[in-house]
Amino acid sequence: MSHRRLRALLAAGLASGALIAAQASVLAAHRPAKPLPVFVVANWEDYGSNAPWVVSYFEKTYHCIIKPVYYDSEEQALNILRTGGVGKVDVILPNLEYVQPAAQENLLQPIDISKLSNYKYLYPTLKNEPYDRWHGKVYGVPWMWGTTGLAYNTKAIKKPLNSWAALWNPAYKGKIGFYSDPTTAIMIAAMYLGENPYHPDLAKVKAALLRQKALDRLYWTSANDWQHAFQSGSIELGSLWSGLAGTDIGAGWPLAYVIPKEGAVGWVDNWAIVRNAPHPQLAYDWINYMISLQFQERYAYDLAQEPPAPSNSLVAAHLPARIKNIIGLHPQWLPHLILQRAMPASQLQQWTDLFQAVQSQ
Amino acid sequence: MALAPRRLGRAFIPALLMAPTGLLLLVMIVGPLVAVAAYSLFDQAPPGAHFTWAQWETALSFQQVYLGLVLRSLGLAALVTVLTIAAAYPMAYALALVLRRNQMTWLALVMVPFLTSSLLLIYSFIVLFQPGGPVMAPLAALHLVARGATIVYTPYAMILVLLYEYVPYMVLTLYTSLEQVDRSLLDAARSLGAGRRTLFVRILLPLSAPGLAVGAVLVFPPVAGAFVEPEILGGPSAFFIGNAIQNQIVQVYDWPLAACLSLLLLFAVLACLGLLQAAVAAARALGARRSRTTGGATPTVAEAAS
Repeated sequence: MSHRRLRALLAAGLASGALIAAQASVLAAHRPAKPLPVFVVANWEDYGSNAPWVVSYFEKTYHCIIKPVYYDSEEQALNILRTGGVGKVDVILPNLEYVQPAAQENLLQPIDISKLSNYKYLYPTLKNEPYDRWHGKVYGVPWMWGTTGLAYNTKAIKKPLNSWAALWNPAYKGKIGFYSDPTTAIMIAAMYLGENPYHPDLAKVKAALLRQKALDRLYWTSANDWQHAFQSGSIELGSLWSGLAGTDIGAGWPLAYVIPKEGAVGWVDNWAIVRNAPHPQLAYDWINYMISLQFQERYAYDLAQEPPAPSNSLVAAHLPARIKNIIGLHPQWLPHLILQRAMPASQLQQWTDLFQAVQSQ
Repeated sequence: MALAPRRLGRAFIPALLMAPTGLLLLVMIVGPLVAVAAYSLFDQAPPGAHFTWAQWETALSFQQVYLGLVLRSLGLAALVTVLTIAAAYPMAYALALVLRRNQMTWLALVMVPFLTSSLLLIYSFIVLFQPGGPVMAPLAALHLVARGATIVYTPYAMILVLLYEYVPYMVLTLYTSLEQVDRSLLDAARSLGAGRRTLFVRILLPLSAPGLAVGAVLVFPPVAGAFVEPEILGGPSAFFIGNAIQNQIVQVYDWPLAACLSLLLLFAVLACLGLLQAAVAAARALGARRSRTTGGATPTVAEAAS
């Protein structure tokens, strides 16, 4: 893994060097009268938009210079826009949980999907998602998605698991690593109980989470913690991100990752256009490129960046099974996902208080 | 006339000597503390912030988990402090009063945990103690523990790592105060018939009390605020006020409440340290009075030594 990553990094380094040289020669040959527009892309670092092959392609094709702005939390992303980013940043990548709040705060502008020729190829579950819209207008274009499902060690657990009930099964006491996140935990408990995952009976959920916690070896929060515990055999099953599961499966670990019959938690990252974006046309070009088969197929192979599952339904047919397993691209999962959506501040407060009470006991 | 400039110099030179560190402390400690206090009284980060007591009401409410978590953290800090004293005292005693040479080598070895990042310590602990690891595998082979058993992800693991991280502070402070104990005091006490227990209780303990107090001041506060060790090592039940503060900052983004909880913890820790200081002072006063009225060993020995 690290070897491959090193090689990928080296290749990326060489490529970017060559590209800079090529770009310089192109610029020198053209000598444009006007300076190129500076297109500002806000995103997490190393999440597709700053890959050298992406930057060079887009800059050359659309005659601009990409200026990246990085954030490392969704809250920080919104803060960039709140504190002067509106009118300067062109596009940003809010999670589905943040599209509506950002639209409501008047940080984004509605998107005319007729200007996006690739929009029609998006998976219906993703493009019909109501929380990408605000007052009937589209504000977010689905780009990448992933899930939090059930993972188990196939060497230790021979019988295939297909239900969240496994995490409540006393037979696995002391072998479970549970993902410590309020929203995910409450949704999983609700699915297990057969409650509405968006509006469960919180008293029942709390009782269930307390029973579940008594069986846990570990409440994990970072990929590192999960991997250590799994590799050492300290845990044999638990709730896990599809991206991490794919990485581990790709590395040959005896790990199975399933979407339980009750459903799994899903997340979607969406491209959005910032209100008063200085370059609206480039913003449409960018988003159309980001959701194109061309970009999403190639990005799936960019394993150093740990790409999630792409939103364009054409991509799956072009990828080998190995890559699809690593990036977690299983379109049959999509209808079974409970997507993490925006929720009112009061509800979020209730949920985080509830989970904190569970953690504190 | 000659006195005035000298007096001025006497006031000026200490100020000059203290200025660099003082300035640093002012900027790096007082400044952020003021910012935290300000955060705790507003409903959000500026601009557009409004004054409110809401988060203090939340932090201090008996309906919420926070007061309980503060108590739990203080309990952990007290436990780890006592354990570091128990672990450090024999070693500091040996280094200061028994070993005749190579003290510096041993002290350097005690310092090793200082030189390593605490995250590295935590992860190496996991590797050492994981099932099938270098510690658990031989125990399992001898059938002393079940195969696959480990103390990683239990409160024991968390306490052990905290102990390992903080024991050097206690060894060093105890060593410094024990090293200053005049050996002839001990010889004198022995020659006057004091047993080991009397020697320890009447001489060593009072004379090393300042070292103990300084050690406690260095160990207690950081353990009360510990959140990394519980989160990574402590298993699902290890949740302390530090974890709640971290949650509020990175998960809930409620910085005002996080600021409140940090101050709450700070006040609680300061109160504990105040109590400790009062207890040490009271014990010393009591000891001094008792030895005056009964003509006890300590002053006699002290007189003998002088």
